[in-house]
Amino acid sequence: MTDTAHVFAVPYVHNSPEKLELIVNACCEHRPWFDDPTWRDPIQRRTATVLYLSDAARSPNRLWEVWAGANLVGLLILNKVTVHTDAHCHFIFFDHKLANKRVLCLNAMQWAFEHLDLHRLSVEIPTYARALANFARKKLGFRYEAEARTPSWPKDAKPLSTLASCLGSRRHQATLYEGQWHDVLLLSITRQEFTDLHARPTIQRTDRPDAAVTSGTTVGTTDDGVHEELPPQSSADDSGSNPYL
Amino acid sequence: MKNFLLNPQQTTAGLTPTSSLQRGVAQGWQQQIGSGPGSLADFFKTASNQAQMQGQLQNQMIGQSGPRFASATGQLQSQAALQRATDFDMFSANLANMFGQQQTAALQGAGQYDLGQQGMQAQLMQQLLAALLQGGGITQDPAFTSQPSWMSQLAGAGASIAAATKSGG
Repeated sequence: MTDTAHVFAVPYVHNSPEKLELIVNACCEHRPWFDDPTWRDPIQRRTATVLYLSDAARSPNRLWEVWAGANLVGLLILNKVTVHTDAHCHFIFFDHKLANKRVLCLNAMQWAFEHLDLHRLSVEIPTYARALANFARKKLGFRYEAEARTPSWPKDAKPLSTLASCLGSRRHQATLYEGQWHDVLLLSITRQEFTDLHARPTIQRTDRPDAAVTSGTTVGTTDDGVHEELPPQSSADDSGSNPYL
Repeated sequence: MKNFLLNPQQTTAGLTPTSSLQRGVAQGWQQQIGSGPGSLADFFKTASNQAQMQGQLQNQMIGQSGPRFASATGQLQSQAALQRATDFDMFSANLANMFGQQQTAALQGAGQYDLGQQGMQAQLMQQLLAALLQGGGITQDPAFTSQPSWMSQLAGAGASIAAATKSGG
């Protein structure tokens, strides 16, 4: 399989035990996406995976198969849907390649905004999944919940920096992974932010080789606070050496 | 092999001889150890019956209804087929909402992907949404591709025109 293979997503159709087996096997071999107690037991892991996927598939167009040519390379899942308001996105790529999935994910997000009439989309990413968090922020435009946004309350509060919002936008010790409790980062993007971002030519610019997903901190020099990191501030707790950025 | 050397009768008694060589070996063992009540053969027979029953039970558990001593590959294929069918049936049952939401959530743990009652809520809301949108695409089968959408292409073209205009002006 090459990176040039046509990547596409189609809604899951429950008609083939063989295809489901392919998907479930891939999920069970992928990095843990359930807590340790569930993940460590092979039977529980498989059962939980099947139930999780089938729960997503209860509604049409919530579970998508991602193919690169003839190879199944991932899943897109929309769940926790609150009509007219919010939905949670899950991007799972079995080939561990994010770079060639950016436009696919953006198209899926656009579809969700338009067809589910959402105001925002959310993702929750454990702190150990750094590459995925970087991909969500720098390639898809998700922000930490408090990042560079004016809160609805208190009225006089100012938007937080990237670092402050990174530290504050999380569920504390929410997942047990390889014997350690990890925080889960909370990120989201509003429809307006997505539209603004999508209409900007900068979204294409992030395809540059030097802006790879797994690369280190990128300090932005533009006024685009979504794809690029905000410039580091002078306060002590905003040092540019934070490993989580 | 170790079991065979320690207790060959028990190991071979559950087998259905399929060749003259196997029959010859079995008969040889029978002659060696006798066949009367309380004899070693009787003891072995009891033990072998238990072993045979255990084997049958194992065969039932893995859904193997054919010859007991299938090849290892065949056994693995059978297990895989059973697993495949189980997964598919479980998926189908959950699609039909035969599993309780609490059971589903409990099996999936309390990790970052817990569903709570959202699955059911989403299903109900889906119906509402479909009614609200009145066929606005919910029930269609869209497909995402890695190609830029028309919106982004339009935006890109617009940006190019703007840039050209700016540089030209």
